[in-house]
Amino acid sequence: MTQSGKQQLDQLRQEYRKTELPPELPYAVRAAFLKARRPRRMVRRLVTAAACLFLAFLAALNLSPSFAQAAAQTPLIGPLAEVLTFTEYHVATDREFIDVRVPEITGTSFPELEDRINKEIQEKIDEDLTAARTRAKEEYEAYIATGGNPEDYIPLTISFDYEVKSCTEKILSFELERFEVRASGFTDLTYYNIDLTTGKTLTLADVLGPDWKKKADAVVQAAIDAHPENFFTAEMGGFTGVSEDQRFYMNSDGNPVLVFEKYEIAPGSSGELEFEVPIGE
Amino acid sequence: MAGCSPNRFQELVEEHQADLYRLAYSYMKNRDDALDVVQESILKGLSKLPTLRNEQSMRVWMTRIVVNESISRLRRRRPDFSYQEWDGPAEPEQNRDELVDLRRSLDLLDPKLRTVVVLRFFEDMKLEDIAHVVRAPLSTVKSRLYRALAQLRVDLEQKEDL
Repeated sequence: MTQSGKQQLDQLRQEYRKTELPPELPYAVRAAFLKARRPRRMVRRLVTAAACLFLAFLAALNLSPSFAQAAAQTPLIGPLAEVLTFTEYHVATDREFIDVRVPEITGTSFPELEDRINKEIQEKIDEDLTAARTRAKEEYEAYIATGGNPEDYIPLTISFDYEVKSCTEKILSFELERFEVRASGFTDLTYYNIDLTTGKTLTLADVLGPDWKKKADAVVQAAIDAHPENFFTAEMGGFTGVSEDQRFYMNSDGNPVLVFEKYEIAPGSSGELEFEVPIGE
Repeated sequence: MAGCSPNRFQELVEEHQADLYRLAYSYMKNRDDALDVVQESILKGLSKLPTLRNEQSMRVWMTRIVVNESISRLRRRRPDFSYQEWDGPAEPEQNRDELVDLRRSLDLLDPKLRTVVVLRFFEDMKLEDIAHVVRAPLSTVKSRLYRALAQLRVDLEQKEDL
């Protein structure tokens, strides 16, 4: 025995950890979730998770007609803002795997704002899908023309989905996620933060005050200083301060959460990064 | 927050997809079967999601599903399938024989015993968690580990390493 058992096991462990990951793994994982979802299309899904419902309040509405009447006369309560699925569609063929849920906002008491944002989202998704399908069609034709096996073709895989981050009487904050798989998966995130009292889109300055940049930078820098090995250095294109158009959403504590996409300030292994910035006093 | 929503489950699975794949691959030893196991495990996981009590136990829970799915597929696999088709990665000249022996012994180990070795030494799981994965008492897990190491002829200098 030239080596201890422990060392040998460690070597096998290293082999195990280095198991080659096939490029279609993210695609296979996504496909499984899509497959699980598909039968549910039959039952048109009410988007309960996304809707901002005050359940106790609704229960009271259902139970007590006099309470409902009183509530309808109370201007404070007004219509409830929510995010609903405007439309959803799925394509699953050998060449395309498309899973889309288009959100729309309603009940904000700012119809123009709703129209503008809803239109923007719908156009963004439509344009994106049209472009992606054209590109994928060209790629597929080139792939076949150069002798590629249709069975090995990794289909165009794109999904759009949304998630409500917070919804109070004052603020509606939600995320629009675009996910695409080619050689590996890519996620694009867009956030909408709406001030329901003014009908305007919130900026970090609105939430954090005039020194928003200082506050936001401090939180991110503290996280980097705690674990510098998990981030790109400034020379590598890492964090150099939050930008004017920094992505963020509002969480249910009313604090803004800064979001950095994969590779934005850290290696891909760190994934997407989020930093909550406490509003303080 | 109690339980785990399907969306959160998807996030967690995507985050850990590499771990799930590696584990499946350690049983199946080929890409297509390992991908199948991952996909099937996701479907099973989704259908049983309401029984998952909290996010923290998700790793143990999903590991359990992947292990069970892999083992049941191995049982269904053609009897003429042989691990000898799989050569394994190249390694430095020295130690080659011992390592080849050990790798082969590990592959030939009863899947129940191998599971414990893989989870303990390759996935760094605690014995208590492994007990949850294989739904066996802690003492059974320990005894499987000792038996496995004995069969592998691996003498750990200190049993405390377990």
